[in-house]
Amino acid sequence: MSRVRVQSAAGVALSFLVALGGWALTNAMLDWQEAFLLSSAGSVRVESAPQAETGLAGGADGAGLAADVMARVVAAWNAPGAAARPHEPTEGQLNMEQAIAAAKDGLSRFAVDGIIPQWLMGDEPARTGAYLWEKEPTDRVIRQDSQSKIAAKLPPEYSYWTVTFDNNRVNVQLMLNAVTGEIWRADLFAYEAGTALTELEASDAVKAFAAYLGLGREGPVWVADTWASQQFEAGAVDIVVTKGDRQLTLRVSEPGLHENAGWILVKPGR
Amino acid sequence: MRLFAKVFLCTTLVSTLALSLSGYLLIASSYSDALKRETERALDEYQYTKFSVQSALITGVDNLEHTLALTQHAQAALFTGDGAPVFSALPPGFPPGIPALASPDEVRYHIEHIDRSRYAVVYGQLHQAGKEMTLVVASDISAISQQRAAMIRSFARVYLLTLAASMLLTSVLAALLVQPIKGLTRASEWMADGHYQARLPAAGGDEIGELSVSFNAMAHAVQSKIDQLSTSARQREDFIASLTHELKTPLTSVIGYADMMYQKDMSREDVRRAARCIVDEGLRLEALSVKLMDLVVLNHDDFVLEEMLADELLHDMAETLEPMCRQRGAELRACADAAYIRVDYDLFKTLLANLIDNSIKAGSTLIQVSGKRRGGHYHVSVADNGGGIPPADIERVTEAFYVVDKSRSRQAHGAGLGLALASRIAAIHGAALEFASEEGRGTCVEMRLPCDEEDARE
Repeated sequence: MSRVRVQSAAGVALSFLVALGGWALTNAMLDWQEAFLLSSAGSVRVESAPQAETGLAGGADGAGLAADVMARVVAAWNAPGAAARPHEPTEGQLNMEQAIAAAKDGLSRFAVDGIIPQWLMGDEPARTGAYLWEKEPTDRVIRQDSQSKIAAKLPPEYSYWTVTFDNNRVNVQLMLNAVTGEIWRADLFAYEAGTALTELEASDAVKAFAAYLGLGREGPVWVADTWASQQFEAGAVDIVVTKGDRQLTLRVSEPGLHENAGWILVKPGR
Repeated sequence: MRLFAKVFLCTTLVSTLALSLSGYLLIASSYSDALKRETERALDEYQYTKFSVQSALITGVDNLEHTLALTQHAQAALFTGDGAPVFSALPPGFPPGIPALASPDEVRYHIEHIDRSRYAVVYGQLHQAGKEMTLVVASDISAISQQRAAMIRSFARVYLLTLAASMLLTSVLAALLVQPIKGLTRASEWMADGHYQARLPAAGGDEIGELSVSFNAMAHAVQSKIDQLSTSARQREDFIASLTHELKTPLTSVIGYADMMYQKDMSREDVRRAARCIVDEGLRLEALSVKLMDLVVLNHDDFVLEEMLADELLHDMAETLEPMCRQRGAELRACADAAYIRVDYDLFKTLLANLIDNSIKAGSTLIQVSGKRRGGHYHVSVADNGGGIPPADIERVTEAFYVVDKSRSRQAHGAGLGLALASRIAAIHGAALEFASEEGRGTCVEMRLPCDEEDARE
């Protein structure tokens, strides 16, 4: 066999070796990268607001937000595709104790106004849970809010506390604005059939809920068998109340979104 | 190394490099992103679990483990400030103890590898209801390792298939690439063996196509040169043979007559006839030597051409040559257009004299010398009504010592050098002799001399 033929055969054999070597090298590099990533550790510094023993946190004086801000915040909460993440309370937001206190206070107001039955306040909840959430800022929200354009993070009033009270009779889920502590949504569910969760008509419950929030300048009302909706603050926001068997929902909504625009309480899932 | 092997190796090298790099970047980036995402999810789970524990502490719930079970985040552990476990629902095999924290506000995380599972472990301090605790939450992130392994397996298939396809394709392409080069090699070898007609098919406009065209042009040039050299060698052989013959024939006569005169007693009349033959053959030898000398001289190119009036030149020459024609029984006529041509007078006269002499030797009785101006050329022709030239001989009449009618030429003391001389003189004037002949009816020899139209005389 001539020298050229031997060299050619060696060249072809080398090609196969190169192919195998490339695969081995890729695997080695991937293993090295995995080992590097898995061995790395990190830390996050949590900047939480100072703990307050009683009352509302600094800046949260209980005063409601302006109607247009309220509308923007509600729109941000309802923005499709925006994930919610739990986070520590920051400056200007209620801490957990304040949020639970504000939730109980709000429910007491509801009971006084007849929105919910008085007996509900007598039951001590077996389980209580409170979680503070922030929404990922979507493009629509950033376009609407000039402050979040600069900060790339939504202002504190865009966060919300979800407070859950549960006993053997009723499950109550509340959504509170993280700054004002106002209940902007309440979902009540009775475990027993035939349990009346409100004595008011839906339209009356709307007005009572609006009064709790301090909303005025009433607009048109839509009333159906199971729900009622009314615009407030010259059409800036809607208040929607849905009554069902064993179920009652009160919520602040964007204008024009009635029965079908439901909110979803989001928990981190797998 | 063969070109095929080189192309194969280079392509494999490049393909391997590109595939390995792209595969690594794709998988590494995907894994890194997934790990980052899972770490963020683990941090969210930690925060959610922390809220659950805090809620329980605020509302005075003692069964924290039950509370955490309700939140469906059971892979967590809670330790008191002094490190005593309140409860632990971490996976078996987890390292005992609490990792150190730099500050109460710090939340730390790392990846823990237990058995065949991987966990993102997040831990931080918790302050509620006057209690200080440490919460550890472990999130199972084994799924991303499994996804990574699946990606590597998929990539392995893609890698092998792509490389195999690449190698196959490279083999075909390399074979196609090498094929015309092999053809070139074969043609070169064939040519080296003396087959100068070897040619390559000129396919495609690429470099190999250009090489084929170039090779064919070279082969054509070599073949032409070889043909030319063969013709030249043949002509030289013919020349030497003819010269030998032309020298031998008169010398034989001279020697024969001289010997006869030496050995025999001859009458006065016989002696005179023999002497006459010796003189004739001597004159022929002299003429032969003069023409050969002229041919040798004409091989030099240092002639100076002068601008002359063609009509005057041709009429003058015709007048000079006319007595010779009349003496040999031929009539010479001349007519010429006015024009300036560049000639060497003596050479040009020799050319015309040779052509006219040839016509007379061919038995012509009428010879017409013409000069016509057509376009940028001046056409000089000598036409006769002699025996003509057979078509087969026309190509060779300008070769030295080539004679069409040997017996007639011999009688006229011809050696076949006249037209060779005329052809050489025409070449010196930048022209070539063109023969048009019809056997038994005559011959016309024409040449085209360069002539500027502006220079034409009115």
